[in-house]
Amino acid sequence: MMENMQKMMMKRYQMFAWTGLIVVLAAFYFSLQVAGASGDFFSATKVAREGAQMGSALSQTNVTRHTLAWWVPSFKFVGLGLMLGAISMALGLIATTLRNLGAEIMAKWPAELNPGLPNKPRSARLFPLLMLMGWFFLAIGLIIAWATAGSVSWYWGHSISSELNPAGPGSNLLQTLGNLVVLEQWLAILRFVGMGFLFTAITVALTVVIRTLQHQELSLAQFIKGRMGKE
Amino acid sequence: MEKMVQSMMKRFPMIIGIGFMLVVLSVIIGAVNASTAAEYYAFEKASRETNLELAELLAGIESTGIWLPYFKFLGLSMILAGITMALGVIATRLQKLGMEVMSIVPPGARMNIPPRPRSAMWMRIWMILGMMVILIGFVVSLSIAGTAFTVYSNPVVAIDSASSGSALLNGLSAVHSAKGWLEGFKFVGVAFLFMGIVNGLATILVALKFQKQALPQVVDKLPAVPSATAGD
Repeated sequence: MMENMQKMMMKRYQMFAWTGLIVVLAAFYFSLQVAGASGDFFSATKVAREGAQMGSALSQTNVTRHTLAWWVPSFKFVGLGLMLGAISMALGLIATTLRNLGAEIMAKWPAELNPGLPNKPRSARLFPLLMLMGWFFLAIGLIIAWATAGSVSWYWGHSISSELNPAGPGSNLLQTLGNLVVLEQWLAILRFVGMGFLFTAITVALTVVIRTLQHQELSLAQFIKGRMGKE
Repeated sequence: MEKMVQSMMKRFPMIIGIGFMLVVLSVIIGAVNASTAAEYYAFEKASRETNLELAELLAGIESTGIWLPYFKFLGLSMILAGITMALGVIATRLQKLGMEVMSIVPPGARMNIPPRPRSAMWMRIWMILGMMVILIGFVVSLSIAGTAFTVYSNPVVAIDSASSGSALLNGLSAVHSAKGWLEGFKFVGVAFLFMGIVNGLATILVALKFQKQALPQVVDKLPAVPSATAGD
C-alpha cells in the first residue's frame, strides 16, 4: 500500500520539479517587492527614515521590506527542496527501472543459471524517508516564518527614533526584537537541515542505482561463466 | 554544432574542477574580508564613523560582501552544470550502446532506436539559461559593488546626513534595492540548473524504459544457442 503510493508519487517527479520552479519564480517576484521597498525607504534621509511615525507611508515601506524578507527565504527554500525531491524521485525511478529490466531479462535465463532478484536494499527504503524529512523541515520553517511574520510587521511598524531605539529593558518591543533575532537563527537552521536531508536522500538514491548496476554486472558475469561451463 | 556540444559535454570534469576552484577561491576571499572586518571593528565607533581611511576599509568590506556571494554561486553553478553534462554523456552513451547492440543482433530481431527525447534538448536549454542568469547576476553584482564602494568610501556621518535626492542617498538606495533583487536572481539560476538535472535524468529514464521494453523482445526473437541445448 505504502510502496504503491510511493511509486505513484515518484512517477510524478516532473510535476514536483515544475511546482518547485514556480515557487522559486514566485519568491523572485517577492524579492523584487523587497527591492522596490528598500529602494524607496533608503531614498529618504536618515532623519526621515528613523523619524517615520507608525502608520506613515515610509513606516509601511519599512514594514513591507522587513516582513517579506522574513518569510521569502523559507518559501524559496521550499521551492528548491521540491526540485531536489524531484531529482531523488527520478533517481529512484531509474533504480526501479533497472531492477525491472534485470528481472525481465533474467526471467529468460535457464533456471539453473538464474540467481534471482536480491531483496530491495535498505537504502531503497531509506531515501524516500530522508526526502520526506527534508520536506518536513522546510515546511515547518515556512509555517513558523508565516506564523511569526505578524510580529515582524508589528515591530517594524513602530517609529525607529521615538519608539524602537529608546525601548527599555523588559519592554514588549525589546522582548519581541530578542525573540525575532533568535527565531531568525532557527529558521536558517531549519532551512539548512532540510536541504541537508534532501542532499543525503539524493546520495542514498545514487547508491541504490550503483548497487543495482553492480548486482546486474555480477549476475551477468555469473551467467556467462555458467554458460561457458556448459559449452 | 551537435559534435561541438558533445565534445563540450565530455569536458564535464574540467567544468566541475573550475567550479570547485572558484568556490575555494571565494572561501579564501571571504576569510580575508572577515579579517579586514575584524580590523575595522577594532576601532571605536566615533573613529569608525568619521575617519576617511576607515571609511575606505568599510567600502572594501561592503563591496566585497556584495559581489562575493555571486562569485561563489558562479562556482556552484559550474559544478551543477558539470553534473548535468555528465548526465548528458550517460544518456548519449546509453543511446550509442543501444545502436551498437542492435547492429550485432540478426536483422530479424532488430528494433528501431527511438530518436533522442525532447528532454535531452530541454536539459541543455535549462543548463545554459541557469548559467546565464547566474553570470548576469555576477556581472550586475560587480557593478553594484562599484556603487557600494563609492557610497561607503564616505564617512558614515556623511552618509547619515546625506540630503534627499543627493547622489550619495541615491547610491545608498540603489545598493539596498539591488541587494533585494540580486538575491532572487541567484536562486532562480540554481532552480534552472536543477531543472536541467531533472531533464537529464528524464532522458536517461527514457533510454532505460526503451531497453526494458526492447530487450525481452529482442531476446525472444534471437535464434536459440545450439551448444547450450546440446550440453543439456
